[in-house]
Amino acid sequence: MNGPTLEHYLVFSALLFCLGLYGLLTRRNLIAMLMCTELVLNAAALNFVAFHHFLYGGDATGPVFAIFIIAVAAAEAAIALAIFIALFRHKRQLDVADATRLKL
Amino acid sequence: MMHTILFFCLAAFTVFSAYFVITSRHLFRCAMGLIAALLGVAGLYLIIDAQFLSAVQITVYVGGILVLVVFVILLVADVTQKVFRQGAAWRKSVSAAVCVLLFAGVVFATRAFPFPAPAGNDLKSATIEQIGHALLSPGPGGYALPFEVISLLLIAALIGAITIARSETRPGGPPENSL
Amino acid sequence: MTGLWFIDHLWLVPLLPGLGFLAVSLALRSLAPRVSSTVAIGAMGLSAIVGWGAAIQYFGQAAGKTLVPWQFAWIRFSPTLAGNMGVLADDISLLLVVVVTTISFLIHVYSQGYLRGDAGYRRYFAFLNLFSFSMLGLVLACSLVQIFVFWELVGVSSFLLIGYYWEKPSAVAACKKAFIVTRFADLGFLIGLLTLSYYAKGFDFLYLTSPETIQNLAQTTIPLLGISVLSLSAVLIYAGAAGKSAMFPLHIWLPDAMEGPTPVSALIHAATMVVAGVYLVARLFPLFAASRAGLMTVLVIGTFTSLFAAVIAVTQFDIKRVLAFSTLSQLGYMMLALGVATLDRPLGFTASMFHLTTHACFKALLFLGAGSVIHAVHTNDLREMGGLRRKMPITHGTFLVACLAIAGVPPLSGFFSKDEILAAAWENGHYLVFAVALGVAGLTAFYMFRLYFMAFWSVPADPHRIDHAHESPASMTLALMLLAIPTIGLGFVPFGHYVHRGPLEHAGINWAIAGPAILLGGLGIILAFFLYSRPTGLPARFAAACGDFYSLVYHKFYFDELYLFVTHRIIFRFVSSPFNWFDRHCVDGFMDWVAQSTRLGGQGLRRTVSGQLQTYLLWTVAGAVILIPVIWQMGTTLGWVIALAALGLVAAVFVWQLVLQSLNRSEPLKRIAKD
Repeated sequence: MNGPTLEHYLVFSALLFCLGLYGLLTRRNLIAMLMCTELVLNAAALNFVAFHHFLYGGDATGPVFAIFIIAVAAAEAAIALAIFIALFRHKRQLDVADATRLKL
Repeated sequence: MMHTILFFCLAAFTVFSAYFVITSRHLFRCAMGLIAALLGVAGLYLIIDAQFLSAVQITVYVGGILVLVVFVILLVADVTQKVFRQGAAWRKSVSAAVCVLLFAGVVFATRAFPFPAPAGNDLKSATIEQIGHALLSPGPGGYALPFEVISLLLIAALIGAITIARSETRPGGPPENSL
Repeated sequence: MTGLWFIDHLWLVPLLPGLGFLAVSLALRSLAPRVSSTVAIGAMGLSAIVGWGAAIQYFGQAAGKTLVPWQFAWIRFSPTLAGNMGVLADDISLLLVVVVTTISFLIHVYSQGYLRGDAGYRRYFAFLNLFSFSMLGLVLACSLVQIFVFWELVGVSSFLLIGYYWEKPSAVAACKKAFIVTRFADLGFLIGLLTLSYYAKGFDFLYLTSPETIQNLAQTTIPLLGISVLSLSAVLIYAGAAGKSAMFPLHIWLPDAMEGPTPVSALIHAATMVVAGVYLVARLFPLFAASRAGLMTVLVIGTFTSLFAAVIAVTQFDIKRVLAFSTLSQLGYMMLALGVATLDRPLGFTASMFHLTTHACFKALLFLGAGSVIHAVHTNDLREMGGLRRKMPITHGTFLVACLAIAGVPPLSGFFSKDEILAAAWENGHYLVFAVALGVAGLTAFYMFRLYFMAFWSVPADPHRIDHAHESPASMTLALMLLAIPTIGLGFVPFGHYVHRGPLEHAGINWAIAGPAILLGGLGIILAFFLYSRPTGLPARFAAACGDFYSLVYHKFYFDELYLFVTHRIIFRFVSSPFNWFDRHCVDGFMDWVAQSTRLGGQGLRRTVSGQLQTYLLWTVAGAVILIPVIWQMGTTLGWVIALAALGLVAAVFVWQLVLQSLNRSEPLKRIAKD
């Protein structure tokens, strides 16, 4: 084999994605859920870069998008953490099952 | 050959760290696991010839976002607390099943899809100059507009985060929970 | 269309009171009550003028023809079959128009005085106009459909007017009874109507009474029953007529209908509505004449009713009840007269119509006079009246005239019409019927003069009751005097010249027939004089001597009790109650179930919006996982299988949750809630 092929990277990023998704669905702590979200985002960025490396050499779209993803993740993390802090002040805990005000 | 070994080592390392992220009861261990996973991904960026991105990942992601997360963990969670009720068993099994199915589906799709064979073995990836040009040039092929939009987004996030996390002002006296 | 103005505008006759009804009931509510009555009377008066004009024009220039100056297709069933509404002008319809409009107008005027100051004054005049509209629409009907529609409208108006004193439970019961009995009879009418028009393929009277149609119907037999269409429909339609004209055994509603105000009784239950049945038979006379079964039914029931009612009338003490039974008896006479007529010897037809007219006049007069008496002494009971002839001269005079007319004393109108009926019966060979009719004539004279003497001559049980009795106001006595004129003079009109079917028979007075009639009448009057003109104990002793038979007759042969028994014990218990149960539990239950399951469904689905973020996420991802192979395998059976399996799974989960929700034992939901 001549080094890892595109499929290897794609499978790996899919694995990372699903692991992150599983954590997202299972963890009760809000910050833990945020961290799993970061895993998911990273998997997506890796996917972009892998495609860029193997298929679209000259075009710089891949890394650029990965940079965008990182920037967006930063913004999102900041807001999310701010919300968690505000929530913590009211409830003294960060349990996702408690945050159910938006229901019928 | 080297590539393959490095790839598998880094991949294993990342997955192992991810495992910590998704199952550890200790929140701090979660955060450490995530740092390790992100470092692993940075390593993968290196071997895939995206050095700039690897540097950005470490600097921004690990050094910025994760640090923020760790700060918040230290602020709001009792890190020694071990008693975190986990989700119901049925939720875990169903989620696991769904994720496994999803993974299987993507793998299947990947193997079935006829990707065009790469021209050579050692492709060149974009250099930092090319990335810079792409980021800042307007017009087709340029990403100046998204760049500006993201900067706007970051400002909005900044203002939003400050507003949301600001302690509530009480008439007279310092706020109860000084941040 | 015909060039005769009044006949061309004959549609004004029912329309004017109809508009009056609308105006009084809707538009004039806030104005003074006198305005309502004036409008109503005005509408009726104009209608009467048009009616008289049309009658004069018809009998003067177009006699003998049947004209349809206006009609339109109200319901169209097919290109060839339509239920028409319009105006039909011939001898009997214009006769009835004149009778109805005139008497209705006089009663409108009378009611102004009778009901002055009453709380429901406006409502009364509105309903009177409604009734006039319905009755005139019925009389001028050009097709079976129209007559049926107005038949029911008349029933409704009667219901509304009998129940005028709706605070009295007896009045409410009476109006219900009248409506239900006539409605029940109309079932027969409807079946007969439908049978007839189905086989004849038409509704219009002109078409149905033509010889070809009748021949056709007489020869068509109904498959299952083996009798001709003609006979079956004649008998069934007669059921409706019998109900409206209160023939035995559907007579029970008419005595109770006296609960309404006396002018209403005069108009509806003496002069006009109850003759609708007679009119229907007369309108369809060619059909009845061609059907032996039909004619027999009419004759037998009519004769029996006249005897039956006359016997009961002898024992009643309520002045209006006596008059009600008298009406029943006279209606029986009219039916009897129609029953003895045949196509080649149709004297009975003319006699019936003649008696209808004279009866309308003198019966209305009797009722209005009774109203005047009741107004004066504030009681209906004959035993509490007496000696009124000095106190109420006009009422007394007109009442006496009317009693003489109904007793058949020459030369008043009643003598001529009764004599014609007897002559028709004799000449067509119905000797038994003749004998019964003769007997009824005698009874009629007796009970009418019993009433007269008890009210105007004798001494009341409480002598002071009549101290304050005085003559009624002019609005009431005017009507009395006006009605007395035709009562006296109508006999001299050559009726048969105008109203006839078939060969024109002029019956001069056959003294061989008239003689016994006058004799029996005279005997009745004399007997009544001796028994009732002074307070003697003779009637009471005689009643005691008859004992049980008297009691039986006094209670109207217990027919009311019989009907009540059948309805309450049998129909309510075995028919109405099961239906009621079914309606409440099955029909309502089904509706409730629909609403309930919708509500439960909503509640169950509401639970899916639990606010649990991870649950939402799980569903999203699961949906994506299912969609991937579906889209991938889109178009192939595998794709459909997966899609349907997934939908089934989702539906199953929802249904499971619904069931648990309704059973209120949903464990997974509680666990989710605790998570």
